[in-house]
Amino acid sequence: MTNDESSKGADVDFTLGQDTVLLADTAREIFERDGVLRDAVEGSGSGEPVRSRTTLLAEAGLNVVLVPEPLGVGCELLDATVVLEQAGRSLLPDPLAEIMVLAEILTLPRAQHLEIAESILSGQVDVPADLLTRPSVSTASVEARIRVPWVGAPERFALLADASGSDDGALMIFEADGRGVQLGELDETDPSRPVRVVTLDGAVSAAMVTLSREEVGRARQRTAILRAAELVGGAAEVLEQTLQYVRERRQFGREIGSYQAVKHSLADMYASVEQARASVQMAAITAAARMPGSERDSEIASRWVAEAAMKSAGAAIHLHGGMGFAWETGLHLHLRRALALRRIVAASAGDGTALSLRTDSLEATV
Amino acid sequence: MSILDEHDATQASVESFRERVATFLAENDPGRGPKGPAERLQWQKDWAKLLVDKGFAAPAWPRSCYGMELSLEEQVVYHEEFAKVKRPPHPGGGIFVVGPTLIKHGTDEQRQKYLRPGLSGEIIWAQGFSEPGSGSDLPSLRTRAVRDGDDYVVNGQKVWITNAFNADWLFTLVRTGTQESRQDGISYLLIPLDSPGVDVRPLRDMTGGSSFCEIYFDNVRVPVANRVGEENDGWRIARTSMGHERSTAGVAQSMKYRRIVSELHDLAGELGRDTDPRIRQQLARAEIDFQLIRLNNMRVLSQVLAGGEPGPVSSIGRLMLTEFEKRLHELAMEILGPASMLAPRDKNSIQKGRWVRGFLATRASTIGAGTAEIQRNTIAEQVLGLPR
Repeated sequence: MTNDESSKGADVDFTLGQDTVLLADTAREIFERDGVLRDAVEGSGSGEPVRSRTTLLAEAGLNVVLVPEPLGVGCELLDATVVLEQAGRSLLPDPLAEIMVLAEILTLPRAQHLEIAESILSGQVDVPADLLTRPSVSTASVEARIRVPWVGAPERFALLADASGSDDGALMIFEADGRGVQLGELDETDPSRPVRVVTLDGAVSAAMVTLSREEVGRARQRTAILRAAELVGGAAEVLEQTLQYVRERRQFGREIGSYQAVKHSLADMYASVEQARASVQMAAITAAARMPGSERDSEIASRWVAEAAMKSAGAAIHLHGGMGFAWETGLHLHLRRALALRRIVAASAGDGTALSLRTDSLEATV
Repeated sequence: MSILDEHDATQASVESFRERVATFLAENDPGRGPKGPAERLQWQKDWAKLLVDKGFAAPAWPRSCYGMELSLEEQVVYHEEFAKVKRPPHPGGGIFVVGPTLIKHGTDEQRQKYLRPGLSGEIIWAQGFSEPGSGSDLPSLRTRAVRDGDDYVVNGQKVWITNAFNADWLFTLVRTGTQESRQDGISYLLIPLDSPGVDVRPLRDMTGGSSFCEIYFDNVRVPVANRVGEENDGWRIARTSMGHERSTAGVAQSMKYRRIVSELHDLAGELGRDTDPRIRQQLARAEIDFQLIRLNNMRVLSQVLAGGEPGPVSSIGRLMLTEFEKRLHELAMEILGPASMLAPRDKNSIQKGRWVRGFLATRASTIGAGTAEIQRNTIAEQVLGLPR
């Protein structure tokens, strides 16, 4: 046992506060009332554009969960993970992880000069962000290819530039139709969260917030943890749907949930979801407290959760039998989301794995 | 190299038959085929008809029923040669399931009426067995056929019917006895899908395609002459196959998967993933898995060629194969890396998204045609004799 493992038991508190539970329940109710999951299942792949929920999120204060009071709700990262679980359950199209972390940056005192900050925080404009990819950029003139969630009709997007040498890092906001910016179509396996590939060549940012190396790293880490939390939510959702199904479905005169093989499969799924949740919560706690070993905890969460989410969705599909294979049951959307996130989340964990595609028009190296 | 070499069962006549098949295939190559769905269907029908006209269809069926009536060794050769080339798939594969039932249990009139057009693709057959309430528990099926003069009147619903949208006829199991009598109250009925009261609706599956349908029957009149076999004897005759088709066709299956595993290996090389030790381990596992499937097929074939029955070990084949093809496509997603995020139709897709499509499609492998759980139960109870 390393030093940081032996001390963890006393320092780490996994107890969720009443407020956190309430916040998560509120988020869940809001998403249910707004038919987020229903829209994802019925709308996905229908050709209809995916409707953004930015206003809804802002009205409920869910975008400023991490922002200190009085501007925001003042929650810890741990609390935010529970909110992200609800987003994952309902297949919320908007990338809430990035939205929350972006809000944190925009409410820094040094960001006060940004005119656009208020419109973003109030939900009037969408500024999707890629906070996970490490493009090689200099803050003066950017060259990169990134992948940005693109829900609704955003006119701007953001990315994180790393600190380099004596240069600070930054959050950079670009006009979508700005000079040196090219938007490309990207058809991904997850139709519930559309994305665009954005090529920047000599693009100049419209607005910028300077960030230290540590701040950039922390923003990336927090985004990755929240994305992992979203997947935990999806896994919890498919488990719940499957539990309901195996109680209703009868064959050979019995509920199929009474068969041992089915019970074992669900028990395994439950264990997997809980372990995934534990890993994400641990990562959130140690990241927020800047404990030694927090990078390792983030990596564990990122890698483990993505695999667990895929396995859970696969098991859920299987246990639903023919219905699991039907588009309208919607379980495959969780599988697709896990598939898509697995790549990003694993890559952002920073193990040096190159995230490179051997195609002409798509290339991003981590 | 042929699977038969390893059986030491080659004879001059078998090898000259091989030459005949190889020559036929070399001289008859319809190429890659058109893209449009209607044109493609016609292309498939043309090939199916050619096979019948030239006497190269249905290797195991009697010659009197438009088949080739080949010996078992010759059937193996047939499948090997066909597996070496790419030819249009049959437009209505259901004929290969209903055909044997008609051959063994049908009337002369039924054989005359249905076999040749089914084989040639002029009539496309689909299988309609499953119902919303009867999947694994098929004997509980409820679609009812009530006798009225010279007809049955059919009411109910079938689901998960592959290719029903293109199909002309459905072979189906319907309830003619009491619900309690389960499989003893089921009859085998042939239903033309253009009958009044038949409503075929495509189902969207999780790959985004509509590979299957549901069918509603609302007072559909079906002549009693369309029943195959005796009333309430449908369950028994539904599982008819010719000779040892599964065992001899296992050869083609092995060759198909040999090609797929090798293609995945090549993909790993092309993407520079084959130096990653984790990928290498999984590729080695995939190769071993494939070889085990192939060797098991060979064992089963050995028994059959020696004049015996396939034996209990043949019951593991489908279970092993379905789980293998799922795992193989999961490995493909690993190998593709970020490209596994791309929808097949994205212009940056690798190999036109075949592996992503395959990954999604193989989620059904352990569900359709007998779930993995049912297959394990069958092995446990019928082979190992464990209590129900």
